Amino acid sequence: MLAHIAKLIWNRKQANILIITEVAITFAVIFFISALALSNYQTYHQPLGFKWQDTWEIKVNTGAEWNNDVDKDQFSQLVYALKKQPEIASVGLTLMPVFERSSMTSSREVNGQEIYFKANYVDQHGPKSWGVELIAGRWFGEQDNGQNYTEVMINQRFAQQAFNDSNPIGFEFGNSLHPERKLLRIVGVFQDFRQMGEFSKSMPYLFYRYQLEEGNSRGMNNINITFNTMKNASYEEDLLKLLKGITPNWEFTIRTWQAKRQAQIKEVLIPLSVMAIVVAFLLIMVAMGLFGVLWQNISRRTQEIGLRRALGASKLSIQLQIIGELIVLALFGIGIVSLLLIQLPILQLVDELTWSIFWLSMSCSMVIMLVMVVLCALYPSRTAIRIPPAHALHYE
Amino acid sequence: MLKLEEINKTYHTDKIETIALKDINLTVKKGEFISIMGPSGCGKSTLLNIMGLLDAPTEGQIKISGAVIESYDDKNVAQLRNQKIGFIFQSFHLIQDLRVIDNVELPLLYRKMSAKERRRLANQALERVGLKARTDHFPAQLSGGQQQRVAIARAIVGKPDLLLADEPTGNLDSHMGNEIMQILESLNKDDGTTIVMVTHDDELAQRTERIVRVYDGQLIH
Repeated sequence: MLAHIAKLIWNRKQANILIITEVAITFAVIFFISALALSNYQTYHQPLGFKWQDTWEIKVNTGAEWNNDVDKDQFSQLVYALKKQPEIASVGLTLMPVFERSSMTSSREVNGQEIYFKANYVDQHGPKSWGVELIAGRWFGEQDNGQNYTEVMINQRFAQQAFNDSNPIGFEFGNSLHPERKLLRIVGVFQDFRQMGEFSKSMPYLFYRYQLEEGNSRGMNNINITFNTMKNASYEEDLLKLLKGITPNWEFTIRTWQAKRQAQIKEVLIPLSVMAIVVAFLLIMVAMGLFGVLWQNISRRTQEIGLRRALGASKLSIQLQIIGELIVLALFGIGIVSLLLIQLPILQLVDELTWSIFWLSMSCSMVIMLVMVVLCALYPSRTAIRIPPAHALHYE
Repeated sequence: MLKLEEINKTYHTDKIETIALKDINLTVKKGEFISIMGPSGCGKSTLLNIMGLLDAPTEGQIKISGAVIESYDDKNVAQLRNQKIGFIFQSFHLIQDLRVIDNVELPLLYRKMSAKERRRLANQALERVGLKARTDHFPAQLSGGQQQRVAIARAIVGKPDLLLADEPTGNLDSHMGNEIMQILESLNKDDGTTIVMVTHDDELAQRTERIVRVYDGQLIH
């Protein structure tokens, strides 16, 4: 029977082109949607690299351009004042805030590789207190003070890209545009710090050290605090009073990392939900198109179905044959598109389309496509086999 | 071979009830060659369809080779059609996208049989109708008479007990019609195949052993 089906499909190749084309286009659409969804899902489930549950962020607005000579001292006073509070367990600083889109992007030639990375200024206590995991080397420390290098920490992805399996600790690299500057020395490797949240792709990341005493020409504006015991919103007022008392001209905004994360997820999920609805409609339209093509194809074969039944085929065997033929056609369409789609990961045309996402999307799309073909073929084939053979033989 | 007892067939639509066959009693003996005649719309084809289990009677009983058809369950009748009955249609009903040999093999696809055995039997059937040289042709490459001979080969390939032919020469000129008739006669005489043929052609009907006439859904004796 399989040889018979293959023969029939081959001999009807011209008539089958429409189905193969419809399946091929549908498969490509489903593949891209699956790949996008899986890529987002995988990104979301990758380790964030830090804990967001019990940290508050105090955003400092100096009201003018950062003047390091003046502002660094006032900023230090704020930090020292906060550290003195018995309720506060840790105080950490970041130039680029978490769960926001602001980021610093840079590139350097490291160990012969051009590495594009995101960077941030943090103080020596911050990362540890936010639960960033140290994998190799050490945290920033007092031993780095006054050295002839600039200490940096990199994440695991940075280390893998630049050093593969070799040890990056102690490696020094410079800035080819500013050779006069101190070399950067890697003192530690941390797992990750996806500062922009769960929906941001993990990429090479680098921490520069911010020292309160020296300040930074770029400034510093995010103080992140954790508590010994959980604090409620009323504590916010106490904090504001304390901070305003030290720098009355500066503005402060206090938010929990949890609230920032929720707001960001909401911001991402709304367009994603709209897209999901559009995709659902698209799939319905595609399914209807496929349904129409399959119905037309099966209707044209009503006489043949009547003949086969007259010659001894049961309804079930005919339905299985029709569905079998359509599955073979679908696999043919899928095969053609797959040959094109596999070029994407081979040629690395889309960064997000890793091999794992490619194969997973392929599998999902194939299952969805085949289920869709079977469902779309079920009703027309059932309708066709319900026509009594005596009538089907005379069907026009 | 085939016995119809008190067969009635009525078609129902929303408002109209059409009696297609009424109180049909007919016995076809093994090895007999009979023709069914009657004006258009008298129920000849309906009768043939009921004989061939392509349609179920509203009332009555059918016996094939002594066995009563008790159930019109799809699987059951499909198997009976496949094993015991061969069909020849006026418009041949060949699958245009399959070669002659593949068309002839069709009924054997629904039996448990090896591909080699199927091919052997199909070649044998084509040889029987004189088309051995055309196995790899497609139906469109054959004349009407040749196509009908392929249809006959397909009908006999499974060695059925009963051959039902619905106006097998209806689409052919008299010369080709005669050729087909000769094949049917040969199948009946040489192989002992029981044949029931619906025809409008009185001359062809006269060549069969018995003529059954149908008028307004009833047999005329």
